Amino acid sequence: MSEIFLSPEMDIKPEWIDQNGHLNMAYYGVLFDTGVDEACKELGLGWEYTAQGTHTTYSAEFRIRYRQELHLGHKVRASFRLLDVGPKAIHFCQELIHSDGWVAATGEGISLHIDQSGPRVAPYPDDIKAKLDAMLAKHAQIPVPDWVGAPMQIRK
Amino acid sequence: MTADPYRKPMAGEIVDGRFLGEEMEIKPEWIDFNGHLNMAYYGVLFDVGCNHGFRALGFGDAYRRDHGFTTMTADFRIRYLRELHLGDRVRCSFRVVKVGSKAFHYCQELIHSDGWVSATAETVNLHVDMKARRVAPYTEARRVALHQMAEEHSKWPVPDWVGLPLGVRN
Repeated sequence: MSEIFLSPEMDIKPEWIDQNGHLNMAYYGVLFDTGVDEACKELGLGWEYTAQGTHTTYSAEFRIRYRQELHLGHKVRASFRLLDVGPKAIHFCQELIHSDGWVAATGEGISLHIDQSGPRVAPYPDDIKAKLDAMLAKHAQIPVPDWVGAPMQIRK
Repeated sequence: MTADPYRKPMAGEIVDGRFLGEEMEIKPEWIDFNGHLNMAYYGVLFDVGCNHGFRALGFGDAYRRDHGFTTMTADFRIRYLRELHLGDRVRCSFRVVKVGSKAFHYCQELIHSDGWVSATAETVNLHVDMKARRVAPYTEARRVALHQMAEEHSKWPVPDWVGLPLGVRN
């Protein structure tokens, strides 16, 4: 687990609690995205890169599997594991981990590298591609979670 | 006529083979450093944008209060197709894909007021006993409502993006 990137601890905001008295489903997405931002800093895709105004990242797909309810006062961290790196896009997965160690939800996403003059999808610069490949090689030593790529369906 | 007091069939309207909810706005605090709607807040729009579907099915405050059951999301997936900006207005469609005894699968499109689709979503939603916090079978009236809506929506093709795996193109 030590090889997987972990975000700093995050709090649940009161306005994110819904009629069920728990963290509303949509705000799990905010927590996962905040976790991705932290990983992007590590990869050279953070603010100092996007602030140059030429390139950025967009989300192409994102999927959340909800496992446990979260409540006000809970503290969570988001993991980040690369699954695949293409010339212009990455496939990654995440876990939202409660401070007691249990997993509240899993995330799986595709992030695109964008040339802002289009905006259009564009290849990663060499230095960032090297960082992505290095992280992918590190993460490849850890088994891929069995929920990655599973089709969405209901149990009868 | 149905004598089901929980169902609010007028919560949405059917336009060109899509069951649509009310128009929604983008909030300024949802715009990110890219100057567009942040990916996470599409989730908020899809969640608010399924209310007409759940009201039409009879889920909601009254059902929660009277029967002690609620609904919770088990699985949720968004495909981002086109950027949204401050000032854009969108509506959400709601289409039942499949109904089980304790859960159902539905899909949605987030549609700009000019007619183009900004994003799609696919969801598995669970029927939950609020006290036990456990998945529970639908009550008879909810089961009937779900199957009626599924049959009504089965006239429309299931979008080809439902059930696709995630991956990068090389």
